[in-house]
Amino acid sequence: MFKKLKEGLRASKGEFTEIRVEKAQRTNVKYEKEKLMNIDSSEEIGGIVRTLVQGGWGIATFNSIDEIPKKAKRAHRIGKEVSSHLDESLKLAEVTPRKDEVKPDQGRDLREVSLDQKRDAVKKYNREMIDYDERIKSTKAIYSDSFRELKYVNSEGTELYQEIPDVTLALVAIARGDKNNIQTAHDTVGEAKGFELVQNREEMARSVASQAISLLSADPVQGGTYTVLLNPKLAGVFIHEAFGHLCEADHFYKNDRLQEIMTLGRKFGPENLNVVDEGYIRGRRGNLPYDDEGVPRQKTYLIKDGKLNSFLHNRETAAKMDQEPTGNARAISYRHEPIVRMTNTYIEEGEKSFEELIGSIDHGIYAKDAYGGQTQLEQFTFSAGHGFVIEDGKIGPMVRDVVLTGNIFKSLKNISGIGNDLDIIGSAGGCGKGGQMPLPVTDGSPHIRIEDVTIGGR
Amino acid sequence: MELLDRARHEVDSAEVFQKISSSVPVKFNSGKLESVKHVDTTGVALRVIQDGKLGFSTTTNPDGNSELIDRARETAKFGEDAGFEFSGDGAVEKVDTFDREVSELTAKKLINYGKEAIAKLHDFDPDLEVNLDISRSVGKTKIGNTEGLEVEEEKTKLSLSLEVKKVAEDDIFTFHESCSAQKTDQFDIDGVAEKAIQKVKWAERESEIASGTYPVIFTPRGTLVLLVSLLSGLNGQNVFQGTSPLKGDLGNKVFSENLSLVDYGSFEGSPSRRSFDDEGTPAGKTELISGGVVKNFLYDLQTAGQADTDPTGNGVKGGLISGSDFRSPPSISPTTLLISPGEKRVGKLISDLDSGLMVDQVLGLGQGNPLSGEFSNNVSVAYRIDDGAITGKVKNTMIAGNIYELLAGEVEMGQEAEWVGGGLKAPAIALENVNVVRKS
Repeated sequence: MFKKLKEGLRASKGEFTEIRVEKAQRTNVKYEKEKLMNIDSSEEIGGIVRTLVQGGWGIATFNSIDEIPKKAKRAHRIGKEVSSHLDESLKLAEVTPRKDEVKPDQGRDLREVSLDQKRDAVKKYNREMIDYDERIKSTKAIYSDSFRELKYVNSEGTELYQEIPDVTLALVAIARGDKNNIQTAHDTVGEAKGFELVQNREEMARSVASQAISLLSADPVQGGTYTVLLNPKLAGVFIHEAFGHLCEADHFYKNDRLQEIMTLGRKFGPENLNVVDEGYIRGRRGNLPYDDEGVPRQKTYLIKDGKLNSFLHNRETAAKMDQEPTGNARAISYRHEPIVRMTNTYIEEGEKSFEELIGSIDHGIYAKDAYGGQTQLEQFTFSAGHGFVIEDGKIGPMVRDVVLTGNIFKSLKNISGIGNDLDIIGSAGGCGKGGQMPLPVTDGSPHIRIEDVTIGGR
Repeated sequence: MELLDRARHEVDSAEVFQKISSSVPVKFNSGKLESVKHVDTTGVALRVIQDGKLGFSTTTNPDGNSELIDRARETAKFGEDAGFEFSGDGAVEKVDTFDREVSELTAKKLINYGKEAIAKLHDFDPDLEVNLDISRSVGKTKIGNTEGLEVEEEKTKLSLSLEVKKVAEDDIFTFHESCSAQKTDQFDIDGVAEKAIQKVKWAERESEIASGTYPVIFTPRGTLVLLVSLLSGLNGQNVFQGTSPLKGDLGNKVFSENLSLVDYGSFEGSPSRRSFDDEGTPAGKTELISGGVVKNFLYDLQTAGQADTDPTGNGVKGGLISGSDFRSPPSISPTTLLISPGEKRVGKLISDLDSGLMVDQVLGLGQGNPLSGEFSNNVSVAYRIDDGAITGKVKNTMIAGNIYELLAGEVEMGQEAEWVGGGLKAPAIALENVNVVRKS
């Protein structure tokens, strides 16, 4: 099974060499309005050699498996060039070599489902949205699946074979009222499992369409500072974007001053706040039994009892900071080297019911769902799908264009309530970092309440 | 092309897109060299039309021709009406898109370029944390179809991007700067370093702005805030589907007369210069907005076919952000965008303002509701303008507005147009009445 990869290892003269080869089969079906815009069934094979030469990385990627020994030699040449420019050699944290084969928790095998069944499902949901209301002017229904077979070997003796399925469905409805009143709603699902995930989603389609129609008569949110209640989907994006990325050790491991801010044990939030990155939860998109450096999965508490507890590492950052690797080295494909990434990241459940959380808010915003988010270390911003005004502890009218922003250090401290309704959400798309996008991840959280959040608007 | 010959016998019509590329990305982390990579990619995409229906498949396997045809034909079986035909028009006018010097740049040379840029920044301030990516690539694209089209082009690209951080206790000022070029003589490391240093200088002091409505100057890079929305409005697909506010506005004066925008794929000096798009359509000049009047929309073959109009050479695989990718089918994307500059120098735009903001970079670009023209962004690089002068950076501030309203109002263009990323040349744009929300 690893014959050609091992030939590559033998051809390499570096002090450490790893070779990863990936075979992927993919299907995409995309409807836009009434038209099938794309239906695509493809396969791809490729690999990457990474070798450490006198403390410097040389990397080469390829599509032809027969070229592995040649590429290993090329990677070595590059590594040598790199090391001649380094004043400090790079080291990798020690890990125990592993030999393993991992098959997924497969539901209905994606490779066994015919193309017309896939198309019919997507077509049905698309039709459901179009027929919902004549003000629905456009729709998108996008199905994607992939089945990846990953082989990994390294010069320390690790030999791994993993199969990773992934299936996602994204539904978008665009409604138009008068000229400039164009509103978009969307919902997505995704799992590392089988075809059953995308079956019987008519209700999801209707609710997306209904959302877009409701937004037509919603007012833009009034800009200002509010107490906000985030639903699990938005709170999940919040913790991933605003805090998870900060814990990725490659952001700061070479910078002493950033390390001063991210001091382990420093109080970051209330005592009941716990934030976790967990490498394996049955069926979740963020799953990675072994990461792309062959390090086994782990459950890592980033925040425990309100205090900064751990970072996310690959072998290089772990060695540099004298900590243990956490199994978070991930690459989106064979064209990329692994970098420090999240897997399944969530805020642990608290004790408050939804009524308790909302009941004490005199004037605030209930912000739901997410269009995405971005952070620049301390500053975060993310867009809610929609929101509601909260008056005297009760949900009021719907508002649109809800974009939240703030300083993560302050906002975590301002968490004033954690719900008892944890939901971990696998959505379509994924996370982007360092030119590698989209990486399958999940985010999760119970409802959370945060004081003093700035909401932009007009 | 052997694949095309085989496809000819098995389907009604077919298009083969071949990409062979080789790139050398070099990465510096916190000012230190981290890795060098050789990325070789070979890919083939096949589109077929069988019984009027469109099918698509891709592979990286050079020997997988027959499987590829089978899979594409299989997808066409379940596909729907293509609504267009492949075009055999061979009217592509070849322009020069290749630079031998770029194609021959060694890893060592790239490393030295990177070191040079970092050294310039560290000469100014040794505490700046600099992450730098520099890469050279050579990509050969070959497109053929059963209607007789056969075009090929080799393009080079040299690009450098910087992420610079200035760290203080609980405050991190981060910004991006970049440049790219098709030829080495267009590659300007000094220029990038100077722009980055200017940003740090302006941000040395902190300033504040109270919530309210202000005039805002968008720097060339800042114009992306406006363009994300504007481009979705000019996308022929959105117009055809009725989700663009510009539907029905062809020939109407919708914007300020100072706004003129052109898509010009073969523009000389563009880092993304090309002779044809990813469907083989000539990448000519398309006036989109001229003196505030909507002149045209962007089309690929399929949408042009549906909307019964001409393709504009904007069928692009992969799009602006992800770059050319043989795996995705072509969709509508700008190639090289040019915004016409105005009369006033940027310095004059600034000195004319009593009170306002200059916005260079925001977080969450394109989030929210770009179709309707609404934007609401947290600024990440923005400066306070007071009494005609920049007084420092602002933090915890959001800007919001609707680009269709703002660009219809008072608009002034700066005189100096700059390349932003790989395919936009824009001047600074000054707008009135932008909402600013400041966290109290």
